[in-house]
Amino acid sequence: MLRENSSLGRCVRRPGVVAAVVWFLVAAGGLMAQDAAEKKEEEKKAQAAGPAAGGGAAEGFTWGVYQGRSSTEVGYRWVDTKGSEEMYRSMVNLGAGPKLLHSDLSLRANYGAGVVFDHLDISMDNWGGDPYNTVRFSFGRTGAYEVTGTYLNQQYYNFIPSFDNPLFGQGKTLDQHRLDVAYRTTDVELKLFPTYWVRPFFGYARTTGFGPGLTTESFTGDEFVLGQNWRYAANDYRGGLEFALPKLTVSVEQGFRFLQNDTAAYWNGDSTGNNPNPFLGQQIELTGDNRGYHDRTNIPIFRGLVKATPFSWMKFTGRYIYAMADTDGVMNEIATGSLATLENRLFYQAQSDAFSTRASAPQNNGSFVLELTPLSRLSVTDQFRVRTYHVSGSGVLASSYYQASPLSGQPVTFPQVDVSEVVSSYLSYSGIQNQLEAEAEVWRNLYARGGWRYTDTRATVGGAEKRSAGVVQQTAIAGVAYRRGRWLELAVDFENNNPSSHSVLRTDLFDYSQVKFDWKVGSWKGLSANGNVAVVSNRNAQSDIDLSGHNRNYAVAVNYDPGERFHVSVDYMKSSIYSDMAIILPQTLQTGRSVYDESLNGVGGSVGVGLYRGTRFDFGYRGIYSTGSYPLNYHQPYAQLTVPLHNHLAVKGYWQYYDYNQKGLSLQSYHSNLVTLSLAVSY
Amino acid sequence: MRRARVSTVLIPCSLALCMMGVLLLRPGRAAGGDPPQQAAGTKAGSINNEDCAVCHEEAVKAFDRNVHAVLEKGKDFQKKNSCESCHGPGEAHSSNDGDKTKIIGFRDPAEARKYNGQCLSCHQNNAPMEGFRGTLHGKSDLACVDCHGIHKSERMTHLLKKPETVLCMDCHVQTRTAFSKPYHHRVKEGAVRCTDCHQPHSGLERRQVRTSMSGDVACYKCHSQTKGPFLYEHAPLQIRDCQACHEPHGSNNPKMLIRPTVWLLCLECHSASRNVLSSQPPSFHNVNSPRYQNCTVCHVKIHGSNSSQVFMR
Repeated sequence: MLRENSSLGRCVRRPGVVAAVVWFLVAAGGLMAQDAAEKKEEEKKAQAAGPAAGGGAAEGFTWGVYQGRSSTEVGYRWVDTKGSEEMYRSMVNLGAGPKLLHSDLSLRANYGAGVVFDHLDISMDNWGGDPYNTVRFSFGRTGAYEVTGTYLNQQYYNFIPSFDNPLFGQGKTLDQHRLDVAYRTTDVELKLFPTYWVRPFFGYARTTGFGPGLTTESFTGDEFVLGQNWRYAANDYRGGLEFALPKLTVSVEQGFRFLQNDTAAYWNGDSTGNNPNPFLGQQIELTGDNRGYHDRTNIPIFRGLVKATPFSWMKFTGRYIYAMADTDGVMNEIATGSLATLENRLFYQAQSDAFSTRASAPQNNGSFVLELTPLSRLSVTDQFRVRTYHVSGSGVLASSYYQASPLSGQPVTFPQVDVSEVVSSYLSYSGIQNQLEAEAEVWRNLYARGGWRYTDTRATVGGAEKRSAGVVQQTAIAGVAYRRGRWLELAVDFENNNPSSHSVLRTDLFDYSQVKFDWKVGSWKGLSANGNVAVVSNRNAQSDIDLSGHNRNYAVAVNYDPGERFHVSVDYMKSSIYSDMAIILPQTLQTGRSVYDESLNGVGGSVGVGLYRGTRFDFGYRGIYSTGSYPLNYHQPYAQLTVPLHNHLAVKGYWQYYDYNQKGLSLQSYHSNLVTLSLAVSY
Repeated sequence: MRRARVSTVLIPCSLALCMMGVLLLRPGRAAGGDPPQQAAGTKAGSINNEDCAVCHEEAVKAFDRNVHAVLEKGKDFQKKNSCESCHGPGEAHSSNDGDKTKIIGFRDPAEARKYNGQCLSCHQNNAPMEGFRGTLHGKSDLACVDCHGIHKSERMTHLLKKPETVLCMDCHVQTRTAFSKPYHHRVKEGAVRCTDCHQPHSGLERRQVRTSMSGDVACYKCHSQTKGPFLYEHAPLQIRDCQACHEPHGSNNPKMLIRPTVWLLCLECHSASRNVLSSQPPSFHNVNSPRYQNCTVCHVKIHGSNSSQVFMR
């Protein structure tokens, strides 16, 4: 009787309604009706099944013609951070307060039964003030249409006291590239008649970024920190047709991309810059600054795709993209103070800049794959990629200096000095790559492959001075794989590069060899293991580069998952990154060395135990131990207890600990405890 | 010297290919995906779904809600028996007391290619399946059913067997560790998924990376402010993409850079050298002074600028 009268009891008898109400509350869903007979049947099923394991697995509900599943988890998080709050926010950024941690809804109708849609999936994560909010959805009617979409809202807080901070040694902890910005991305695609031979499709995507931050204004003799309101947006529109014939699929798409940047920078009241020393006897000071960027980019884009299987032994896939980007940029700035320009040999009191620029960039991008199976045991694959990019631009830069006097110290004052300049610049890049590869089953379960990769890269940068570089590289590829079912897989791959006389960039992979070994064992009674070894060695012996380096990775993971009541997973990774190359120190033009040495051990593991009547305890740990150029330890243990209160209701307690120790820089270390108590409803 | 090196690589490779050719002449199993009917390994006739339901009642009943039900009920397919569309002719299996060797059961892991052939007989020309055999997944003989649970899936979307991130990182152990480094893309946190940047089926790009609409790497989908075009481009972005300076999964270094010290990262390219794209900073850049050790303090528009050739604003 008590149960009958309680709201919980009524809800228990109407599982579909509960799910609908929850969704109405959290996602403005409209699921408010359910057939009474089906409800009773569902209730019987739920009671027979016992408590849902972990509060997360439910057998679903029926709503009209739909079979559905839904879960929602709401809770409250407490956060306690000791140490650098700025570093915690830069790395984790999870805050305290009430949270909608997760919510999802899936509906399925029998084929043809749903009027508007016969399948629908929506999931939402991390709402309620958390910095990473997501909504992902897809719905459609089989054979009629399909809609997929994503919304991401990511808040990035970035304030690392020692990074980009020339005053760090003086005890000032202001990161001059501090950012507190949001990235928002929306991506929706509609496909019509997805099972017909002609399939129209349309897509829309929008990306925005905005938020406050810091930037730097450099004048001759000193640099000043400016506040910044960063704001940009990209809107993508696209549509096309896909023709799906029995042995041929052709897709053509026309898209347009519009980018806009309206960032503003402003003086934030700090007149002292990074350099305390005067320049030619005069202290450089900034007393006011306003700068605005207004850039507009239009990019029409054509994309064509062909997939053909003319014969059973031949497959061809080709994709070609042509884009023609045009950018119009405007920048205006006014600055006041005691300033100097070495370029124009002036001290001055105020400056105004008006820059107007235009750049165009045609771009071709093609990728083609031909797969042949001439013999039953042999397959040959040829992959060809080509990319060309050419950007050319010009601009008018006009500057005026007010109350200016010569750097030489002559007692002359010019009320206004105007300087203008027409500039141009270009960059061209072309790269082609062809990889021919053959694979054969040389013995039972033993596969061998061999091939050759040809890469031709050329680039030219023009402007004040012109520089060009190009390289042709030929790479031999070989590999052996042994696969005995899914319980044993061994694969070794090898690449060796035969370089030309020089590279395009100093840091390129040049004279390199690469070995990869992947293995997998399992599954035997729930026990499986896998791992890999990857070693890349690179060398460039050109005397003014003298680069040698390697990247070695060793990883192993073991899983034991005999059933729902228990699982264990452990993994370990060791990596060693080393690079040593010659550099030229600007101040002396003498040769120095840039050495980077990182030795990292990563350990992780998780254990899940099913306890009494659906109660579940999960715990785990993940840790990073790094030595070398940037030594640090990062420990991330966690534990979660899930206690089912009812078939469809569970309470969860979650603890997560972050302990970040940067060796030799305790100022940037922190440790945080996060405790979340939540209620999970699932149907 | 170089000729000698070419010989040491190419001659063994050529010999190996010749040996492979000899070995290939012997009869054997198909290396590629077989057509559905042949793959059943039997010439037995067909049966109806109702016959399948005698033993597999639950699977047949639930199949009406499966996206593959369109095979049987869609106007443009109208297969009489949707079970056999994937499992091959079932009469032999049915008449031999459910002999598992007489049907394509998708249970023998050694037959990944055969199973993939079943799926690809319909899906090979679908949007994401662009050159699957050339992908790392294809070369590793990953079976479709390793990731997709066709009949019963914990996550219904795309019939995945597990939540996407868990599924990927079961095998990609190194990546699992990379996302636990201090500076990482927010994959563990649920903000980004592996498939936001990677296309698990397509072999058109290296490392199966997705492209933006204009064919550039997926980074520009979110970080479109760095794409340009700019009057003054920073060449490595166009030549080597973002990975010239950044680790895409995760890094110990701030801003996910490949070096912890900015001036060393910059000078690795900006040291004058012959025949490469490089330039030398002017001599007032005294890197012994903290003022010049953080290059991006002044060169704030390092991805490209419309108003400063040296990316100052």
